[in-house]
Amino acid sequence: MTTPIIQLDAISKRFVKKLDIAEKFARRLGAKVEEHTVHAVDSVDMAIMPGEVVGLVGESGCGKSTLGRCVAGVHQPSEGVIRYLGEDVTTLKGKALLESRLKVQMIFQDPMSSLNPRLKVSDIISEAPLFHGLISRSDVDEYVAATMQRVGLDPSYHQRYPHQFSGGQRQRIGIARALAVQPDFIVCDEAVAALDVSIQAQVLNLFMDLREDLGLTYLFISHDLGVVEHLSDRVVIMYLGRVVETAPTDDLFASPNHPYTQALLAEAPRLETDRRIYAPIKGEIPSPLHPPKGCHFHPRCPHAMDRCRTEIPKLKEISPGRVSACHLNDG
Amino acid sequence: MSSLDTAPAIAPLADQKAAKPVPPAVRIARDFVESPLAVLGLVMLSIIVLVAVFAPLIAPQDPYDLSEIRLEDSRQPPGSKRLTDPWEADLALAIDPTLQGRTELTFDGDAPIESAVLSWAPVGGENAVSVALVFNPSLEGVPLEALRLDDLPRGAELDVGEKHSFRSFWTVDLADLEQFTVSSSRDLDEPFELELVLKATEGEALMTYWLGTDGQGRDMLSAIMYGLRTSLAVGVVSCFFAMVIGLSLGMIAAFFGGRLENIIMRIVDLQLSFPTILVALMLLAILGSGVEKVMLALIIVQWAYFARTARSVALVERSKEYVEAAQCLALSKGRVIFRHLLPNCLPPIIVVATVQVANAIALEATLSFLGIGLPVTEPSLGLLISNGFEFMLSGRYWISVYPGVALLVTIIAINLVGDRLRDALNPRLHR
Repeated sequence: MTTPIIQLDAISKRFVKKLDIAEKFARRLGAKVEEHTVHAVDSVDMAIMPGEVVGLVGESGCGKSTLGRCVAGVHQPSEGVIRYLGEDVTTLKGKALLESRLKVQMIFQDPMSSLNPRLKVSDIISEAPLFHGLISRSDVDEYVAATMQRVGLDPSYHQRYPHQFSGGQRQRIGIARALAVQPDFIVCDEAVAALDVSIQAQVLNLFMDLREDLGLTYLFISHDLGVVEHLSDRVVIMYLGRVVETAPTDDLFASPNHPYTQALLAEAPRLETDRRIYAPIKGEIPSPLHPPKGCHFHPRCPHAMDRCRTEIPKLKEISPGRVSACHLNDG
Repeated sequence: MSSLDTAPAIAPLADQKAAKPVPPAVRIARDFVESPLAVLGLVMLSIIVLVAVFAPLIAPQDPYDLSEIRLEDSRQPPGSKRLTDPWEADLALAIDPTLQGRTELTFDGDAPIESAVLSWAPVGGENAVSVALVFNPSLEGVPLEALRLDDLPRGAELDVGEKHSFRSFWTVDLADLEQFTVSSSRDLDEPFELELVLKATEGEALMTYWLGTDGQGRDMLSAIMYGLRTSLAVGVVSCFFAMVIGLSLGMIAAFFGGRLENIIMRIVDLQLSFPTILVALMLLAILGSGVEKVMLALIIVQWAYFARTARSVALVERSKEYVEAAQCLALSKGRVIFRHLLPNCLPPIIVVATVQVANAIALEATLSFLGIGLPVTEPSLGLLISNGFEFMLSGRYWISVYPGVALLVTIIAINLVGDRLRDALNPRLHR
């Protein structure tokens, strides 16, 4: 069996707002003041094979972007181990560490704020490869031109600033910046959500072309089920910081197992659903500051039982390549 | 999503009208010149800065050079002139009345004449000698005080002019000197020496005090030029260092957060809760006066403004995705801070800096006015205003008012420029 390119072992990410002096003092005096902790990602396991495209789906605020940032090395996970090609990245040093960080790149949602407005396109693309000595200064122009060509940008625009480009072109610049350090693995954080539908299609096709040409592996974070279905080999569904279901794309869309997945798929807008009235999932997504006990989904789940309110369901294999975290599968 | 065509190889360019890249600086410059008032401010400011920088070359006088300053010229109104000392010459006219004779007298440097020819001849049969004194070139038209001839031999008289009622000298006209007779009731057989005093009524005009002079005889125009120099230098230098310190601390606070941020920002809060003038007064009371001490005091009271602004801007910029992208590309912390964060934090800091330069100049003027700023020998604008204050009620307005106008114009010009910069650098006002 091949080694997963990225493997996550029980990754958790918590954001803690520490108490200030006044609050600490108040607590000394007996006031009920507590530190606010957001469990953005709660003990997530995941393994991504080379060449795979994994879709990561969930509502806003479910921690999918945080997970993506942990994988890309922007955030350090509070707990758990990230393995790149089987190696724990925290134990890597020097060149190997740099290698592991550069090989995992990220493409961001907002094509405007993800590009430094004060740098020219050529500087944006060439900065990191120059800094890390991947290319020499004399090769910059050629390298930038080749990279721009690869992402479908006219290389003659390399002296322009990001604000002179359209949204789709800016996203291409972002992709070029990531590709410039020759990554194996790309985290796409809602990479097409901010684009027009027609432009989305172009950018998605670009992703697929690059995958074929360069043998890239993607973690594709999205809330758009249509995009994920079109793109991914495998889909991971997250809810409030936890993975609730993982399945090959076709299986998942054919027969969703987890009640949350079922609700998501049932309400996804499609061409053939025409004029039906959508029945939104009951209630609001709970605050990650105070997540519900037991199964996180139980306050909104139509099948909730007493057990769901107390016991956290474990991810269990329900058929080959499919795992789901629901107590219904036990009985 | 399932029926997508392949993307075109080259995406069409959205912004066709911009044929060439417009660097942000050019865009800001274009924005800036849209306001005529701001351009006026910039022109005024440029003139002021040029005057300040080239003051030693263009100022009519060096107000710091005490040897150039004459106390007798103090408190002269605007437009009065600085004069040389009047020219003066004492001539000794040696005459031997028994012979006919001729001598030539020469004059030195600053006299308006080169030489004079004295000739005399005894008048036959009488105790008299006729004398002629001819100047070369003629003294015609040179304003002279009344000419005095003195040391006549005992009992001698002149046939021209008038003797002083009780003193020994005679007052004569210039024309009379061309031919006059010394006659005596006694024998004129001894050589004698007449003394002639030539004295110009006034000196030549060296310069004009266009804006009058101050209490020590300093030319106000020069003093203002040099004062601008001092004020601007103090303002700009102190602001620059305050900016460097404030910007660094503010960015460090924003980037690293945590306890460090708390410490820095609480110091800033503490600092900003005191009135600046009070803090500066206390500091100068401790440090003593002097240019570098004033600058130090200004830096201490101003860095907090920069730190607070820098932190708030850096916090906003830090949360943007390009910073995350830079981290993702494993760039070093220093590079992220200085190449990515810093350039994007600068525009609001530049605006604060221009306004703070104006504040620093005003604050320095206030301190000097209160008498704890700069020394009297190297006056800044504030000190000039302060020096003239005591003369205001005696009608000698110019000593205070002109430096005041210079200060006002400088501060207004800086503020006009700063205001427009704020608009030009504000991305929200851009279409």
